[in-house]
Amino acid sequence: METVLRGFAIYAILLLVLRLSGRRTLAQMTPFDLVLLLIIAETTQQALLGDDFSITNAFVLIVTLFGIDIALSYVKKGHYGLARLIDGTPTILVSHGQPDRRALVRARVSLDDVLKAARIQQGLEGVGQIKFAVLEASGEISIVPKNGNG
Amino acid sequence: MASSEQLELCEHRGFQESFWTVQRWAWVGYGVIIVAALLGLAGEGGVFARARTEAGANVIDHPRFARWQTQDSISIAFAPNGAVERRVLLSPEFVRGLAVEAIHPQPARSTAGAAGEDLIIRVRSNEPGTATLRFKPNAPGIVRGTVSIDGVPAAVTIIILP
Repeated sequence: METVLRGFAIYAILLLVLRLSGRRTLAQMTPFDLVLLLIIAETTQQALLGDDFSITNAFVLIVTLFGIDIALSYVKKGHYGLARLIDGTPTILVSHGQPDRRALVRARVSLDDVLKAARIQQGLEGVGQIKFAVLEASGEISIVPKNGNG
Repeated sequence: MASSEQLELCEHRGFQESFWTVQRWAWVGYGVIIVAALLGLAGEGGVFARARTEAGANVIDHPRFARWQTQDSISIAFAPNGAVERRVLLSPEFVRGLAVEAIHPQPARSTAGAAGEDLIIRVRSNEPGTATLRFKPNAPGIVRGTVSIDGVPAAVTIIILP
């Protein structure tokens, strides 16, 4: 029982903290962010397993975590509001070449990040060539070039 | 504000704005948690992590906040009273809530009874001595009990964090 409760608690804490920390943490991942993520994984492991390193404990825990994830995906399908709360929504950062400064600041994304995505994805040279830049719910920045630039 | 004209996208800007505000408050919450932890409210060091309770002239140094399944300790500083055998009685609440793993120095005798666990610890007469009990909390919650030293009880409360 304790294993299942631990699984639920850690899943809820991670979901809450990752969601409240913002998408930027996953979108523009630097090498240090990756190290931070590994440290979080290591820290979580101890709390998940406790003193019990048995295969049974690991098995129950894995099944619990996957179970919660599957159950949550079904619940989210039926409740759009909950899905929006847990997964977030896309945010338009640049529209017809005009950066939305407020959205950029609030989403902690710099114009440089948008330009980098524009260069990598579409080979664009400047913000004027971007029709839409969208910070997706997944944390990625997607770029739609203006006609003739794609 | 950016327009979503020609882009099939459910932006929900109003929701996003509200969520960004919630995020900022959550970050303030992160700061509060970090400061609280530095002060010792999460146990493991810090100004408020431990408390000192007097039982007569003796002093019990115990954690205010301990962590579930994490080893912690209670120190008892005996004031000299001429006796070589000092009696420490842990009330049943302590015995139930905390798994005592080691006692230094080892008690000369220990007896379990309805009143709790009775420990007889030998010290040098007319010299201050210290005994340390190492324990692991059995479950999260609050452990309220008494530690009696030579019959003088002291109420001790330990908050066990999950």
